[in-house]
Amino acid sequence: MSDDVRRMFFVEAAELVRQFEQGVLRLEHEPTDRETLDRMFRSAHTLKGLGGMLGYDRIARFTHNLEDFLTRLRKRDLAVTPVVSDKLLAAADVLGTLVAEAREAPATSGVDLDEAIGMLCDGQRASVGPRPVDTATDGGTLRVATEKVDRLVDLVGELAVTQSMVAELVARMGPAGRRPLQAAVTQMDRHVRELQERVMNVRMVPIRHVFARLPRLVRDIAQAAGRRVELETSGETTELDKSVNERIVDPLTHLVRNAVDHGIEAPEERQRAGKDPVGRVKLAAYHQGGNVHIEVSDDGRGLDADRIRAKAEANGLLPAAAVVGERELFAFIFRPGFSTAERVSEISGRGVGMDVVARSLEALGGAISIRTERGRGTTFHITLPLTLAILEGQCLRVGDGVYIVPLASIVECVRPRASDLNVLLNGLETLTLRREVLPLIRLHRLFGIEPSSREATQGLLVIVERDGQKVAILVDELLAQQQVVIRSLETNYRKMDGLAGATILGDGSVALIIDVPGLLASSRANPDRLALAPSTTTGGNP
Amino acid sequence: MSARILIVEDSPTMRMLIRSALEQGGYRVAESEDALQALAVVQEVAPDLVITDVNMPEVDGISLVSQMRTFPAFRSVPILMLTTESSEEAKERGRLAGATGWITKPFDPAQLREVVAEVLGVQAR
Repeated sequence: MSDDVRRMFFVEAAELVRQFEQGVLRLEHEPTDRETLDRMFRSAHTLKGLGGMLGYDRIARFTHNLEDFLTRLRKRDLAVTPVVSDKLLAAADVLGTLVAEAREAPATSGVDLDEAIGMLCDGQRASVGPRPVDTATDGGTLRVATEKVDRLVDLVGELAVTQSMVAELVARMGPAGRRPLQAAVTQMDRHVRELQERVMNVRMVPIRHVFARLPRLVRDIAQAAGRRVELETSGETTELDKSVNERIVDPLTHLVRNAVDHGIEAPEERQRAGKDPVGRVKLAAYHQGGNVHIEVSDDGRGLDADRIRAKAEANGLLPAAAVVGERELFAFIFRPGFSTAERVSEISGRGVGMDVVARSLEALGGAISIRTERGRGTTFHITLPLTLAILEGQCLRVGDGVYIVPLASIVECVRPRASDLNVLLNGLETLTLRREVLPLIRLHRLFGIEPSSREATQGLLVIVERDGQKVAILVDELLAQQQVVIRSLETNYRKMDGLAGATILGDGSVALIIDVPGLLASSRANPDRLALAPSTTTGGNP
Repeated sequence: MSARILIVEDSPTMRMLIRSALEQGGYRVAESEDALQALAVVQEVAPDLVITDVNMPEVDGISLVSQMRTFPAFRSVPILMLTTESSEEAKERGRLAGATGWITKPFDPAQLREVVAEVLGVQAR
């Protein structure tokens, strides 16, 4: 069997399994919907045919039995009761697992096929391993391997670089030679820009694929937590970069899980408060101002400011009786180890806290904020960049090298006065900025290069911030701000701490992109590395 | 000139499998992903043979066969049905609608080419 056929099969199979699962969820609302049953039947049927053709006998055998089960439903020999829909969902899991194991042939997933088939007949519920992640994209669209697109992105990036090289050469030419070329170069510039935009756009996928997993999750959690919850989604067609899409699955899953488990109250409690016993969780996505926005909201009990305050005080994060705004107070829930849930329930107590959510969103260049009203509900608002592959960067010069810092992480730039600089006993250098003491990082020392001047007062300090933590980076000079296409370093070099990647500048030289969170983390974990060697003195200090 | 075959099948993987089996036999292949699309393009494609899946969304393969048989130009073009059910009932319904024969999934490429050659050969005579 050719690789193309195999690849096509796994994309199609993932989509079929997803359709089947969505069908089950729809059946729960409309147990007699013939069309849904037909569609589910077709999904199973197609999987059976393909399984048989491609020699995936376990898939063929299971779907054969599943077809019989669905036929009983179609003939109304069997009604869609909660027990039946549980079986159908378990069947969807079995299908997903069988498809995943086929991909990793000859290894098997350990699904006991006889047991799984048996579940369709008697009252047993099949237990299967964790569901594989499906990466199928939409029907009716062209499916392209990611590597192909990435290669295109690389090439277009290179084309953009060549274009700027030509532009620079033309600019250096004498006026006589330049004139005829100028118009052509300007036009080329426009085309390259547009091409780059369009190629980047190929990487954009609708968020639907992330949202599609959540109805099942909401259902399972609501059932386990004794909640009644309806999930509403909007903006499923909102597009975002494929890599962003993949990496928001976990944070979003966590937020939705929290909303159902902690946000929405038990039905009796809701009724006592005069609310609809069925809680609502809404997921919305939309584009605005060059960013993607995602909101997860619930109409549950809202965050408890008093409890968060008590916990913050108990943890020593907040002095007793300190005056803080609600906004600041709620931000505490994103701190590591901060959880106000009274009991660690089976569902939410998975060791992943809101701090992990916040951190993974920040790693994507995004941010999260909270709106909440006691008794009315909570909304988590996520802002994400459209793409991870392009970065709005500030170029910095250190010696002969050019480095790039994401513009978004820069707070300000200062030329330090000698009196603001200090060396601590452990050798760590600091900058005092409006009464705040920040660690000072010498980029030239970190990357082992020769700066124009070792005197900090001769250089510039770029203040960067992440997670509310600031650090001052010493550089020689600020250069231009520009959009850069990020290349991974690992394909060409070994992974280096403090670097997020590299890019190629207009003159063809390589500039390294500084990984601000990584830099901060290493300054926390390993202050010695950033400290002065004992033999060196800070010339800047009188 | 090699014969032209129209495949009507909603599964892209299955289409790919059938296409490659037929192309290895030197046939020219056109594809439709559902019956309505097939009806829209069949006049233009003017196939010498149609292979259609039975179980498809909206309009199924059997309805496609009866529809096609109402077009004068396609009254005698052979149509093979692809089915996983080898049940006599499905075959009978297909036959009544005007299908020439059927192929049971799973099939292997050589087997498919044999059936196709046979059907086309019969037509040529």
